Amino acid sequence: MSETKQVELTSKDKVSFKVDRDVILMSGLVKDMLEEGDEDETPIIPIPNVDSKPLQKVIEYCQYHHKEPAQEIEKPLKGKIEDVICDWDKKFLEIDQSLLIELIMAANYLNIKDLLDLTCAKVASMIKGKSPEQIREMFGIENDFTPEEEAKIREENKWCEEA
Amino acid sequence: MAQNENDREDDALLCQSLDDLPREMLFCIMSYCDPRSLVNVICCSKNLRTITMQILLMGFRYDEIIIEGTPGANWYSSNSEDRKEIYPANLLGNYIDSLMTEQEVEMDRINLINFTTLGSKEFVKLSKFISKFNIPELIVSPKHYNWVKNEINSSLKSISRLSFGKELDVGDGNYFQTLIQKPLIVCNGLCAKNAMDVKNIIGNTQLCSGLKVLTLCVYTSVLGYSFKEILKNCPSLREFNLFINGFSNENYRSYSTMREDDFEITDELMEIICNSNLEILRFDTSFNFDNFRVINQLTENKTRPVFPKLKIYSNHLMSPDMNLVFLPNHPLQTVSMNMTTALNKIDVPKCQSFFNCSQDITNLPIVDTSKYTISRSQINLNGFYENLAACTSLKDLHLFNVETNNMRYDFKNIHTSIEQLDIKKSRISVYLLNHIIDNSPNLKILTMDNVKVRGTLDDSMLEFENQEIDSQLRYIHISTCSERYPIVFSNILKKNLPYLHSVILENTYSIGQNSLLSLFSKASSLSVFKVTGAEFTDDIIVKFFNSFSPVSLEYGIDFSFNGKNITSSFLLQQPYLSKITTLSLPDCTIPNDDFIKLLDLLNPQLLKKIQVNLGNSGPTIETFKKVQYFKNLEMIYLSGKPEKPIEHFENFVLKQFVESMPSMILLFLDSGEFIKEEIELAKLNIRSQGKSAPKLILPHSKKDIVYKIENPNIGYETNSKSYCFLQ
Repeated sequence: MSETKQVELTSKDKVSFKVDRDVILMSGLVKDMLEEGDEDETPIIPIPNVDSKPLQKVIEYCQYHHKEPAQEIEKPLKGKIEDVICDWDKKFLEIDQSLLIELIMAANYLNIKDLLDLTCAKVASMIKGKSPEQIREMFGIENDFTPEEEAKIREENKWCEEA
Repeated sequence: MAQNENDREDDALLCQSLDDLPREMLFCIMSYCDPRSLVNVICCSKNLRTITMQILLMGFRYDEIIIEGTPGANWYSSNSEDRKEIYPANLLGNYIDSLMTEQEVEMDRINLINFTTLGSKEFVKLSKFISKFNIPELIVSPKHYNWVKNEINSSLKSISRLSFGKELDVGDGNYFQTLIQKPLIVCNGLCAKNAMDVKNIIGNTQLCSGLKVLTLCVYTSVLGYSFKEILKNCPSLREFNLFINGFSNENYRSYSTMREDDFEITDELMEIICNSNLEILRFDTSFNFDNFRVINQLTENKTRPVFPKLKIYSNHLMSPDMNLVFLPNHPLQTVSMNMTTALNKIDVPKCQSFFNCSQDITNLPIVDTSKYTISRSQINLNGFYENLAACTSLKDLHLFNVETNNMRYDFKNIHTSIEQLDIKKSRISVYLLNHIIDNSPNLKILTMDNVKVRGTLDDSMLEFENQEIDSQLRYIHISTCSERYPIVFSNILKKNLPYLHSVILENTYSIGQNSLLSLFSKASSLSVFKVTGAEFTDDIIVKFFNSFSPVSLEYGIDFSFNGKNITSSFLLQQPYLSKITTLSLPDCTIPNDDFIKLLDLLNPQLLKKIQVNLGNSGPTIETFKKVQYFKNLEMIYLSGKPEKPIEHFENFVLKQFVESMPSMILLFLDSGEFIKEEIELAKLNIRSQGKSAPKLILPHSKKDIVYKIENPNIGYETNSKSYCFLQ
């Protein structure tokens, strides 16, 4: 029986993860790097832009979804994201907000489209139905508008209320 | 050495806020947001406003608009629901005014396709904006042509990528191609009706020298000529789209025997295409033409590889000869063509995606591809099955706008590799559908949208006999599939469904209780399950919830069911009321007193949407006072009309209720008599507090105008007698 080929990923904070080659091929970036290298060795691939915590989550995602294809998520989201994704993805997204944002960055850097879509849709779902005040509070955004400026912006965008 | 923990936390903090995400990721997030959410983001902070405005102005890139494998759609499809003109013109003016105050912007394009008709004021602003920030790309529709024509060499100097919609006819008398006095990298939408137009393009060396992407709309007579001359005179060209958008009788060619639409292949042309660096080649049209013949015996012996760097080949013209000449032998990313019987002699190279757009398929070509799409076709089943099974790499099978005959065949081919079956806008034989479902043991995803299943099965085939075989199905999404749901389900339900986790069934008016019950009993660990249209009863709802995985119920329950016989006494006894996020029961009547009791049992933190019919008992002011506790409610539909008008009802709703619901974006009532001006005043009050006003669908006072609800869904009577859609 042939042994499963592995790849070693090294995170920004120098933590190494061994992962099956087939699994991590979901990453466009890793796939491109592997195509350039020698197939017989266990290549060590540095991932200098991603910390170990999000990288571990990325690997977890790939390990599940390389066998279970991810479902396409509707655009724009009609309801909350939990209405359209599987239980595994729901559990996967039970993470704090800073990790979610890091995961978006990691998915983008590693070029894993399905993960980028899932995490971005999660943020959109968090935004949906929230007032600007609630969005600010949730994402730690400082309101630097004067009340007059805010009223003016509301006025220019009121067309969308009837959409 | 591991990084210091504090350093790691610092790094994480760097990207904790939405503000910190790079633009392309924000763009991805915004693409999942509806307009209202986008506007709420715009109102959050100056930085987010600036970024979101830029995202809205940039719209889609030209290559994101291409729909591969769709004849006539070319690089811009105006049919797409997502790309309607949705933004008002004054918004563009306001956004530009605001962005003009910035020192710099991060925009690499402006896409005006989504904006309604722009006036001269907006064009003046646009010109200044593009000039100030050196915007390199402009995507416009033909109605913006005069502005582009007048400004292309002055205020639009920075534009090196220019794309028009396919309707553009700029060759006619205006000679736009001669006006461009600068190199362009991308130019989509130029038109060539005759040889002179083509000469004007290739004569403009400034335009041609650096051109990498060109979409040229041509008349039939200049197809071959423009193809050769453009390839010859545009040495940097990487993507060439030729779109035939008209006929011409002009005959300037040397062969007197040639038809005006023939394609002349010469030694010179063969030399050009063998040395070409082209990566993408598309021939397309929305017309039906006769075959484009190729005149030259050279074509039969392709001794040298043509287009050695080509990745995408798409030819939607009826031209076997052209494919013989231009289709390379090396593996490609995408091949799309009209594969008629006459074309079966062509060996399609290995490709990741193959689109077959032939109108009549008698023998499905065997292609080494993982994604096979058949569109706009009439399929003769004989020959379809065998060849489909011979495509051994096939994983995704897509049937779009396909019609099959309804004859019955006994086929035994197993499609072991197929994992996804996707059917849209088609009339499909029940035999074809059931054959693929039955004989694709690895089928994981089944999606059907707007599919009419033809034919009926024998009664014996409609029984849910258990084959004791495990299906691999994970995901089923069926919408608008007319009256044949039972037939579709008869085959799915023959197998065990241990892996099925998502089922979405829309407009399932034809589905019977037996099918539903069988589905619930076989699928025992669903995480997504939505059924609209089918008639539910109290008993069926109990079984429905038994089919969910316990985990998924923790994420909130969507309690949305059609069915007139659902009772309020049943509802009040449900154990999971406190987990409901959506309560939608449009068909049954819940007396107001019971509804108020129900509200006491629901969770005010979780409930986001409510749709109930209170009959002639409500809603009353008391009802609204209870609903007021649900501060997270976003959508409220309260049908029903008390027999007698309630004093101060309208006043309470507008002045106390509406303003007290911070998350509400929609309120629908059909009781009361509201004065239009007072509705607007209520919205104005909310806006004055810096919030978005909700959409208020309320009956107007009869003194004013007769209010009519323009909702086509309501009143649609179905086989099951369900007459309301779940909102």
